Amino acid sequence: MLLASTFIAAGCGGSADDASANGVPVIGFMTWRDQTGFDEKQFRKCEKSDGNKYRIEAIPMGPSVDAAREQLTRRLAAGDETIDMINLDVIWTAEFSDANWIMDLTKRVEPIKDQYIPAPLESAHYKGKYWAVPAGTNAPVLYYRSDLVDHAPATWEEMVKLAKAAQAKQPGMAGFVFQGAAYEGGTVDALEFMAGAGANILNEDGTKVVVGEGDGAVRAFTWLQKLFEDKVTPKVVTTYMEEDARLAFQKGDAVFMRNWPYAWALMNQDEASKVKGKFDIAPLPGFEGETPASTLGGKNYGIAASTDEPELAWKAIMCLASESVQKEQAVAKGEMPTLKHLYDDPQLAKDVPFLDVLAKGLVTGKNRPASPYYNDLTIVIYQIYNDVLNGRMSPEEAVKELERKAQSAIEGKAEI
Amino acid sequence: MNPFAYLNKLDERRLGLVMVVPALVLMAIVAAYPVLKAIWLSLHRYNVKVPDDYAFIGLENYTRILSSETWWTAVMTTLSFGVLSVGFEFALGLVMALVMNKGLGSATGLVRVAVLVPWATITIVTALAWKWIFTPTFTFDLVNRITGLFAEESCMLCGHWTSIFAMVFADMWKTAPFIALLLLAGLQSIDQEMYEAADVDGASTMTKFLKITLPSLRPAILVALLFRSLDAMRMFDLAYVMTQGANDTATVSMVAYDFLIKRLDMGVGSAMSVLVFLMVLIVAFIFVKVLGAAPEGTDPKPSRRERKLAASQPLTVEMAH
Amino acid sequence: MSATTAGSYQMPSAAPALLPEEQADPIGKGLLIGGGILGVASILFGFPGILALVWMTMILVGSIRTFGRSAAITGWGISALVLYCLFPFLWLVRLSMDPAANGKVLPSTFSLANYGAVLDNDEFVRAFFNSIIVAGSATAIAMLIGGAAAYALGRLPVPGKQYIMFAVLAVAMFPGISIVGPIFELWRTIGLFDTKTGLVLPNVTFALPMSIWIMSSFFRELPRDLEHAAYMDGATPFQAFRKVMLPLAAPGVFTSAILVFINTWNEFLMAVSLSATSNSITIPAAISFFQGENTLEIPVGPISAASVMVMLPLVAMVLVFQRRIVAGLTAGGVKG
Repeated sequence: MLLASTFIAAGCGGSADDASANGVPVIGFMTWRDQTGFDEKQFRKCEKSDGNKYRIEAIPMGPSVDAAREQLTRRLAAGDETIDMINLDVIWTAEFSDANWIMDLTKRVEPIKDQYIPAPLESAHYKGKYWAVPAGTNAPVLYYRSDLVDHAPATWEEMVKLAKAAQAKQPGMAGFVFQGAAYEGGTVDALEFMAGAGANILNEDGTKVVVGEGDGAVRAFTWLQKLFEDKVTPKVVTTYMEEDARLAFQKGDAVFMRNWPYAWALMNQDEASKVKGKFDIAPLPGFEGETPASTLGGKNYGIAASTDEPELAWKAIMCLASESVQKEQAVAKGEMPTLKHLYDDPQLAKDVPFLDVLAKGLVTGKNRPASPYYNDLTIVIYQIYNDVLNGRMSPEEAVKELERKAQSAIEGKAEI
Repeated sequence: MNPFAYLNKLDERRLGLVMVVPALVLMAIVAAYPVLKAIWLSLHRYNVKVPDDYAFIGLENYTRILSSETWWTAVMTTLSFGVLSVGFEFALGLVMALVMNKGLGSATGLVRVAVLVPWATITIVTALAWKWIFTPTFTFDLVNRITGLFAEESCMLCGHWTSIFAMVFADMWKTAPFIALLLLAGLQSIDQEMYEAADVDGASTMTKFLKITLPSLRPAILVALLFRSLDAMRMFDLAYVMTQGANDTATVSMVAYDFLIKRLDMGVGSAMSVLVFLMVLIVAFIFVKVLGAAPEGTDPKPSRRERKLAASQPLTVEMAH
Repeated sequence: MSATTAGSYQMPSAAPALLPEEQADPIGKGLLIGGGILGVASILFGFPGILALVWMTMILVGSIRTFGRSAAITGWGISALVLYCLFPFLWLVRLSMDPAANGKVLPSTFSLANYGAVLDNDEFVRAFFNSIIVAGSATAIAMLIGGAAAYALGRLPVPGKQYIMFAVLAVAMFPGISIVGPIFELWRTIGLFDTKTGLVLPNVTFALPMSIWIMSSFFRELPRDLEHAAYMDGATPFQAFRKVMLPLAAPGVFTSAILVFINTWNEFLMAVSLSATSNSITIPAAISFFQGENTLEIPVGPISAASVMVMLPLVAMVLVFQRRIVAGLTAGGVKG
């Protein structure tokens, strides 16, 4: 009996391909697994408003950026025809376009490009072409305990001073928590700290590693190691991802935290939260004498190169990245709009209390380097960053090693 | 009409072949084909992202890997983990087996179930549960105090050796019970008369353990260690979930995973898998040929039973007189 | 059942009856009870960890004085063993109710909300049935194919038997990650990707080495005379297998079936790589795919609840079949 059921199941196993039950073409949309029902609701709305000419079916990916990329690349490399539309993380543009997995959308994006904030739009741009439409953006912010600290710091140095003062009054508390684990989020933080000290990892056109020019990187790494030596940051932060930091802050264990806007709602709603109403957010600072910098996150919607339905997929994208969806997702998911004019929307400013802080973050926001070998590059960055935090490497050594390994990574000759 | 009419007509030799073939065919398709393909790819330069740049390069991938520091660090991590985890698992498993062998009366059922629970737990759940136990945010103060004795600021996953020990601890939890059960069966098959004879001689508990129990357990111990070592050499999920390879805790399987799945570099990644396979093979060879562990049916001579008898006989004689 | 045994195994409550009256020792008893109260209190209320040394010593000394050294050590050994084995499971139960541990042993609420959330999660429920189908079919096929091969390798004169057995073992040695890629491409070409069949086949293959190994040792233990008797009655080799040997080896087949079922139920790598949707996702993959309201949130509560729920069938199975599992694990090559 079991045998029989397996083969019956296999019979109807061929998953969603073009032509659904009611004869409308199916747009397979590879996107984050959504268990809240928010996405389904938007799909149905868009199908209806576009006259039921297509049906969007989600092909789930996740749960982390790393896992999602693994699932996607495996399927795209095997020429999976069920995928028509892709929810691209901002760091995938170069790699996916270089591998010919996504379609060149320059002709379609060019006429509407002025509506978008420059930085998110730039993340969909590679080698002079547009490969996707910015559908949501995200800038990190500095969370601080407003009951322990009376103002937001303007520089990292000032933050350490404020943190130490608060720690002196509240023994056992950490001064500053962030993301220190060896994963994509570690790269994000590392790039931010370095850029905040004036050091970029690659030059403008992404061909050369310039992190060793000037003393910015060494300055950032030295400052990071000092955080641990001075017990401003506990050792355990070297294993922290976003959620670990959020839970520590929400437990009342930290004065400052670097995190994404998603934590705002959770820390105000979560029953176990001990910091409800006791914290505030500010744009990320930079180092003294340098411009503040933050690394942008976000999502772009692109079309798979193998699709049979580029026109319908474009229609669907225009609907799913439209003003009304962007407003709803800003409130429901904490993903910020990419459309410029929404930042002047009075209703949205009321629904998203930290919109103005984010807008500032978006101005100083930087994209991660565009490289078809971004993935090899990020492994190099987060491993060295984690080693620095663990004190396994001196700042000078780390920068030298970063220069050498990052250069071979972007040339596609990653050291083993 | 007998559905077995064809099979009924076969003689022993032919029947044997017919019965073996389905298993071999399935293994050939699902296992042998991918293995051979991996070996073939390991001789090529091939990244899925750049399909045009595909070329036969002989052993270049292997020389690149073997001259890399990262690879040898991973080999050392894997070996450290292997030796520590198998060693601790064996020690704990032996203690568990001895405790269970005492006859626990009404507690036997409870102990058996308790011991089997870790073994039946999904590995990914094991890894998550232990990761959380070793993460200060998700655990309670007593654990933090205890880990604080070994690790700076009670952060087990912040250093190389403490991370390895954390993984060993999780692995030990999952598999020591398995070893215990294998050893328990060995213990129960020991002839009680040997102990009685030793008692007559007034031998101490320690002497009995060293001269009777351990030698009699030799085959059980070797088989248990063999299978555990093979698994430990390929360990992946614990490191992947618990440390993500931070502090040089990436195992060889994890490094191979980075290349195969993350970087889509099939050439280097496949070469790494082949090297992992060779490592496992060497360990298996050492166990089978040097130490004499062999699962039944792979040993050409029926000598193991004889050797065991030979090993235990003089002892019995010695004890009896 | 476990509740009653739990009561009686605990040495402190069971042992006093065994001791003669005059050995009763008020200091020992006092230490034992005092240490116990202090221990429970400090775990529940999170007293400083250094106190642990105090109450642990009190209990240890107290129990040795009360029950004698040997009984106390055995009792503590067993209690520690049982606690060690069940601790992570209990901790998951605790996190499932209140994921932010905040240093406390007991959850702040005894809410089952996360279990409800998991059961409301359509993908998880379907994954549960997928797991039953995949593990069930894989077990059945592995028994059929593996049982036949095991009998042939265990009792029939198959040429090159040793080499076949070594090949079978070698299959068990190759790292899974390198097999996944080629299987994935093959499955996509022939349409088995994201189907239950596509998961059953690799699971059967990886179950074969172990099941052949265990079952052939069962077959080998049956006395040679049985076949001879059957042949004397005019049976052919296959009839001897089907009518005489197979029924006798049924316990062995059953045992390896349980082991294969548990292993397949737990399989992770193939499950995440060869499935994509509720069509074929199994439990371990579903747990790893649990997602919060956005991509950064890690839903510790629901993940713990789901982990506890998938362990329950296995714990039940272990409870029912513990004897057979022990027999099966210990069958292969260790009885000497």
